[in-house]
Amino acid sequence: MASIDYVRVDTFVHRLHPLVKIILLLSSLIVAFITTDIALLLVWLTMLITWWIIARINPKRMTLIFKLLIGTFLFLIIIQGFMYRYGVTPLFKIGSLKLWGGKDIGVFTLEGAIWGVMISLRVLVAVLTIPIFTMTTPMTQIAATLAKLKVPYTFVLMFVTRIRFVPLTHESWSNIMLAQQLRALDIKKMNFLKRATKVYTKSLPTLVLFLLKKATTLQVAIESRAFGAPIERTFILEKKLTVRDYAVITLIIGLVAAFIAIKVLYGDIIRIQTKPF
Amino acid sequence: MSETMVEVRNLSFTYPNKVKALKNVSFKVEKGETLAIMGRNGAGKTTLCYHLNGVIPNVMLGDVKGEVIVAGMKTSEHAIYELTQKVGMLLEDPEGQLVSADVLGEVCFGPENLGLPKDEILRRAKWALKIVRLEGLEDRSPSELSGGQKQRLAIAAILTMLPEVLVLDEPTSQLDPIGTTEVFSVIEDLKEKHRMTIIIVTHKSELVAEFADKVLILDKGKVLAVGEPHEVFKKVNLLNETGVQPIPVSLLFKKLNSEEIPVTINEAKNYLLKILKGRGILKFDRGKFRENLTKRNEEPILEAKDLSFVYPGPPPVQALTDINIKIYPGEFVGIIGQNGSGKTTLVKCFLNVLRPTKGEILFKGGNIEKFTIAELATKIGLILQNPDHQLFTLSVREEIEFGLKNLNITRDEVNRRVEEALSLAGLSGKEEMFPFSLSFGDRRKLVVAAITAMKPEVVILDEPTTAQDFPGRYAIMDLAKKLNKQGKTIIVITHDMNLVAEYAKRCIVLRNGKVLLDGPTSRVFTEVEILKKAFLRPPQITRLARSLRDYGLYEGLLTVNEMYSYLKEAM
Repeated sequence: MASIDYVRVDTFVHRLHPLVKIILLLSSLIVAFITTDIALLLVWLTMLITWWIIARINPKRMTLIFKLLIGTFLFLIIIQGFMYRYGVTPLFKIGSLKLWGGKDIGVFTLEGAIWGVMISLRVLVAVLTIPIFTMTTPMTQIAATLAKLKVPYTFVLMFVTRIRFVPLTHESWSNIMLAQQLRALDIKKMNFLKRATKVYTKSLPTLVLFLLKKATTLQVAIESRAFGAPIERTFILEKKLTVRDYAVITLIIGLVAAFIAIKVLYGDIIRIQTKPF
Repeated sequence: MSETMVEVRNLSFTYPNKVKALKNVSFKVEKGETLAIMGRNGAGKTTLCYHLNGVIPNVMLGDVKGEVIVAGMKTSEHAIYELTQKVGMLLEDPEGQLVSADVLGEVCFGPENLGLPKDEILRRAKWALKIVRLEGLEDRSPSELSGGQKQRLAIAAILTMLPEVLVLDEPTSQLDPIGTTEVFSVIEDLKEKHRMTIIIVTHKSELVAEFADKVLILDKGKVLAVGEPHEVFKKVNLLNETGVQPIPVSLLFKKLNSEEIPVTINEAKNYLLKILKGRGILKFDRGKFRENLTKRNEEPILEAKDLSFVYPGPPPVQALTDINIKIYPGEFVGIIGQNGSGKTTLVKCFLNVLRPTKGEILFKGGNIEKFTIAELATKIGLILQNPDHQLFTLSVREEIEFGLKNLNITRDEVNRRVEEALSLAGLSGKEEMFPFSLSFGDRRKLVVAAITAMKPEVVILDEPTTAQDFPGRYAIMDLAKKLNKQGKTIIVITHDMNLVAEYAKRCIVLRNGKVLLDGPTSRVFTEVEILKKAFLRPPQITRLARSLRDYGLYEGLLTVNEMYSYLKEAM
């Protein structure tokens, strides 16, 4: 499976302090949250892709992310196409129902579709940053950095083990799906709705029970190794920030500041109608 | 002077759901001793282990009576982090107990929690990784390690806490033979070179006989026997009653009404030599014991033709290379080999779960390419390793009905088949029980019942004995034998050589995705040198026969019964 676990490669991104990548992650979230400008989002995406290339992250993972999100993107574009209240350029019509002081939600508009694209880009910005963080930073370094940032260690461990549970959950789910097919349930010939009602809902309790059992084992394992001792914990893999790290942090923060300045001073470069005509 | 390291006094424990797991358990372990705790699944072994490192009562609750003293500390009076520095515990599941993203992080996790200085932690990590022979792998992710390496890593992670007592709860039950050997060699080093006190829970009687100083038999929470392996393993009847596998050579001598009951091959050989001395070379009709698989002219029910399979990766992994196998109707075939040798990949190809990269699979002469897994499942039943991934409903009855409802058969036929399957699996009377409330062995039988109710012509069992006690192993294999007698073709993947010897008439050995040996089981197990290449060794009885072949013993003898009737006839 294409997980987002750490991949050991020696690249510039891998050598950066985890804090730099945490700042990148937070910056991406800020950009995704405040920006409604497609041009700026594309600039940020280009920067992220450059990080992917430098970090030598397998492009197949990006393809997988697109494949996983394509349904969501289409949904967003379609919904916004019909629902976007400031849409004025009709592209096609499937009926007529007027809401919000005159917007006909039976009409698919160009502005709505563009708004949908913009939201999709925001999602993509947030999602594409996660592998840059998790695939280039060993979990032990993430844990040490989060602890340094005074995040309680219990939360750090929860985060670390959750990442470890991702492949386990995926593997268990695949096995459960296979087990049902081995009982002549032809999942491959079912549509999504039928799968959801007939297969997925029935499989969830099996998965939850299995994961609960694994979680209990993990609890016994970590408690048996003094987790939770009322002693100040040592972190052997603490990294020191270097000039290179400070330089990259400055660049990231500078770029975010520039985005904010452009938005405040000039508004959106690619402007979507956000007010009624 | 001996020093008591573990003392358990009149320990009783009841879980919050009122299940009495331990009843008045008492025993002592001296420093440097190795105690093996044995008994059927559910006997209370793991509960007892949890008391030794304070998981009970610190993490798991229940009603505790009695005392446990480890390295001079009463476990009920100390926090678990204090106890972890005296007693380390290794769990059964190699995956579930590893928490870190790399090997170094894993071994440092415990000492880091204790707030030790960095230099000290790194010194301990280096030392522990050297003991378990994982030096140089510090940056590896645990997920990249083999099962045996994972368990050795888990041992190293415990060793960095510098415990005086090591508690190992079925450390090799999920490992292949090579993984088991790796783990046991490390444990042996800890015992011999570091004089560590070891308490191990295991079902592997042959290993215990060679390795443990004492054996404790637990049954329904009670101690039924404690003593030296020789003393305990001689009590064959007690072992049978408590679900502990008797050692094949002990069983043989018991059958021969011998006063001396050996527990190791060397002892058995010496005792037999005494008996055979002066009798000259034994001469028998070897053909009587030799399985001959006559060449069959009929059409195979299942056939792999030039089959190759590559996992796409990255990096790509060649799992099978040019496999050519014909399975005939009514056969009982064992497939053996190390993890990663291609066994599961092969059977997954039989059902199109994996599509061959090259070659083809034929069912009754027809290519299966165009069928879905669900369509093939009505012809070929595949029972996966973990029963807990294969139960989806609220009752045993519904579980068996699950597959039948996908077959377009009448309600009456469904009911008839459910009753038949319940009776076959010995689950009658448990129809309304929640599947997950059944014992592990019964959950496994339920999956077999659910698959066989669909009346497939071929039944494939993938590692059906993993994490199973001795009675459970035989129960599931007896079930397979019953199905075989009903005319089903059976294919079993297992690491248990005794079971292969006992049940499979034909044996296929895989190594690195290629067929290394394929033939009658008795003949396959005589190919000791080739088996060594696959890190496999024949069952104990076969090894005994081989050690006495100069005296005329036929080295293809596989089971206690075969050897018994052979010797009876000879003497």
